[in-house]
Amino acid sequence: MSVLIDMSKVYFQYLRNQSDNQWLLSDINLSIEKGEFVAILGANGSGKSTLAKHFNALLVPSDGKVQINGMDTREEQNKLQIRQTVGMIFQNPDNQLISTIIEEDVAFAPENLGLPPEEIHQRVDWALNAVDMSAYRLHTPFKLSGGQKQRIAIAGVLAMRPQCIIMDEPTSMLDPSGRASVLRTIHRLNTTFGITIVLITHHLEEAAQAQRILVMDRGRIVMDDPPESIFSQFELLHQLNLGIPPITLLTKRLQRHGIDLPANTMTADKCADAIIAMLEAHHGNH
Amino acid sequence: MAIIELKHVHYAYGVGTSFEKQALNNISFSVDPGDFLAIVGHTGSGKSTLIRHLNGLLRPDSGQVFIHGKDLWSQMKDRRSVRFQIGLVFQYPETQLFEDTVGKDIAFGPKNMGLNEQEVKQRVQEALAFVGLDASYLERNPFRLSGGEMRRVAIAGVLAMRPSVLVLDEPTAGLDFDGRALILQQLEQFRIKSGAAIILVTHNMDDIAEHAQRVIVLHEGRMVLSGTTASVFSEADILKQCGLDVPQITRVLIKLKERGLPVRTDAITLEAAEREILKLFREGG
Amino acid sequence: MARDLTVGQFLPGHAIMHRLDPRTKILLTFFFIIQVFLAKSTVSLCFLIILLFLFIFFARLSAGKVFRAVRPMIPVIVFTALINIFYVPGDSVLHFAFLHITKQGLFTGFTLFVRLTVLIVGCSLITYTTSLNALAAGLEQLLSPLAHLRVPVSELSMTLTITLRFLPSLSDEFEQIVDAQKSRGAFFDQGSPIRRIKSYFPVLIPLFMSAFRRAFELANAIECRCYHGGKGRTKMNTLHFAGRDIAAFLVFTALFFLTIIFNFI
Repeated sequence: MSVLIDMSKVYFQYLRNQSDNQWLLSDINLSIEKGEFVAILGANGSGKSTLAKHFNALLVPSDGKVQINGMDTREEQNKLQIRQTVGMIFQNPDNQLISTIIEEDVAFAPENLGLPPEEIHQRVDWALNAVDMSAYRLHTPFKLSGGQKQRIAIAGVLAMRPQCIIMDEPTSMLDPSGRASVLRTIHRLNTTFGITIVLITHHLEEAAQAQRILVMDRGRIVMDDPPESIFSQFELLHQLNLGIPPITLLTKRLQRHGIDLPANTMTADKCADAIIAMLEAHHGNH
Repeated sequence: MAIIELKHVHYAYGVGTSFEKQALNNISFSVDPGDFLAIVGHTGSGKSTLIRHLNGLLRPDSGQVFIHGKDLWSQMKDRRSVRFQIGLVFQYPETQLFEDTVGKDIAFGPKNMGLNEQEVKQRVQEALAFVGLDASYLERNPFRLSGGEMRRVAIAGVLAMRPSVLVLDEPTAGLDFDGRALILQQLEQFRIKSGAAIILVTHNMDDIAEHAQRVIVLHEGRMVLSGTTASVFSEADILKQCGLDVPQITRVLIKLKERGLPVRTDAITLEAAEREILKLFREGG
Repeated sequence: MARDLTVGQFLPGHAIMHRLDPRTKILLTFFFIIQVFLAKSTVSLCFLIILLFLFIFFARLSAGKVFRAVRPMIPVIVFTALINIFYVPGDSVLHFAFLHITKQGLFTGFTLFVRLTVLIVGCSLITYTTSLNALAAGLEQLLSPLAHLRVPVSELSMTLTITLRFLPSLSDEFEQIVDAQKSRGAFFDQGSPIRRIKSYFPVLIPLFMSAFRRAFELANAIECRCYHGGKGRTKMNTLHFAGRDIAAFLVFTALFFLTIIFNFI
């Protein structure tokens, strides 16, 4: 695999040379490879969004270096190429859609890239299909649900044919079915199209679906592990104000009674499966 | 006597146009002092239309809304006063802050009630304390606070009217775990200390499981389920049809039951779920 | 929430009015406006009304709804018409004190009422049948020669598109903030004008804050989608005049002259 995002010794603050050195990001060293599904977890104000904005040159480091496919984000002439490579989705779908017709909205990025009309058409078809919204091509976004709007926003980014998409809390304004549909879409992008996903969230359940979780606290990356090992570090999660999923709490309680469920039971399904397996073993011994 | 009682409320948007939509269809329920009621439903199910009926922002097409036993639309002259009794906190309430200090913003409601300066001051301090902020916040600029603090200031602005029912639309949306837990804990405190009822509109089933006594499920403008929290969550299939989840704990139990294990699926707390599962291990197969 | 048809709203469809090139529609709307002001006689005004119904038919819209949408503007139309009733000199029909109502005034007032209604309804048809983006694209292409004079045509059209896109969102938000402040006991319709304006501060300030926040987020979002001004931008749907556009121009020219001829009947 090859490295897509590479950050070394990155520090950031909005105003340079502030006397009290209030770094919003400090000493970030990170590399994300092509095809990965990474979640960035952290409480409000931990620096998640600031970090994410460095991945596509919306912000550039005050100190240190960020490279996307080897391109330095501080070089002005790289910006367009970087933004094509790394797309970004924000929290509020309403504030990302620029057109009153879905098809025209999805075409916005390819139009900015100066592509010929036939290719724009192809990309719009493909992108709408990838988020399962082809039927809404000529609709207006006003009447869609939040989840559908967010999928249109994703199609709008997909139309650039990016290698990576950064999702900055894409589900926090959605209802459960909207959230589920967006998460399904994100998974499909990763598995079917091999698009690198960076999902920023403060929901542990969402982060649990990634292959790798980065936990942030006060501008630093404090953990960088697969979900299983992150979730077993119970006390640390608690200290970082991330809360603990109810399933993990249940597992913990059962463990106290000698029911030794594995630490990676983070979803209801896995938990139920583990309990059944334990039960069979338990009754088998009698 | 019930503080709020709705009887057969109907409401439609865009009557006579191609956009006509029956937003509420035969809604009846009542809220007593000290109740903790949750209203759930996916986007467009009629929740926001419903809460606008509770304090007279919308008038039902047919049916009645009673406040303390009086018909809001035929027996009450001063309908504005109802807004002080039924406090409504909208989604993302921090976007409605407008004053340059926290104190002045919270005072907006009490001032509109026509209270004297001394009383207003007292209400503001009391409300600020309920949301866990100290007096040093009074002179601060609300727009410089963190998202969670802004949200609490906005809620305080409604608490300061000392409503007998507090209605909140997704008060924890977009907050992290800490912010969410804090607000819910403060609301629970307010309910216990003031004796007010709370109506919580939310998608977060785990929050409901933890706090609500009763749940109403709305789907396409109708009440499809209504009852105690445990009884509503035991109807996992209906909830699913309405585009809703059950709490994760309940989901584990439902999975176990599907596999033929004898567990009760109306266990919604950690303790109850733990008990149910331990029972399986003890009973043996 | 939209409860009724509103002027400026786009209703997607496939009627002939929808399929015309936006440039054609813009130009013909201009023609129509001139025509309305050139129509002087009762016959030519009646002719315009018949035309209007034909256009509504060709747009496959319900005439009732289209006229109902103009309702909010009726006070302005009536006011303008009334002024004419009192100020046009001629044969006096009624008079109190210094006010005279003249026959000519009544006629002018009435025709003005008809003319303004026809004008507004006529102009509203283009918005029902043309997406805002198509309108912006049409304007952009019509005005593109100005780009040689260093007029930032593409940027202006982008600004227009975005403004139109966000108007409904802001109007929803306005309603929501009004409801929220009403829920805190705010009242908006009492006292002197200054007090009334002041009473709107609790709504206007949050609305401005929200508009700024949206603008900021949107700026980020379009930057992420590689927007870098109009330079090098292409269009998915480039506009092409079709046979029907040429036909529309021909028909319109004929109608135009008919209106003028009817002036002399």
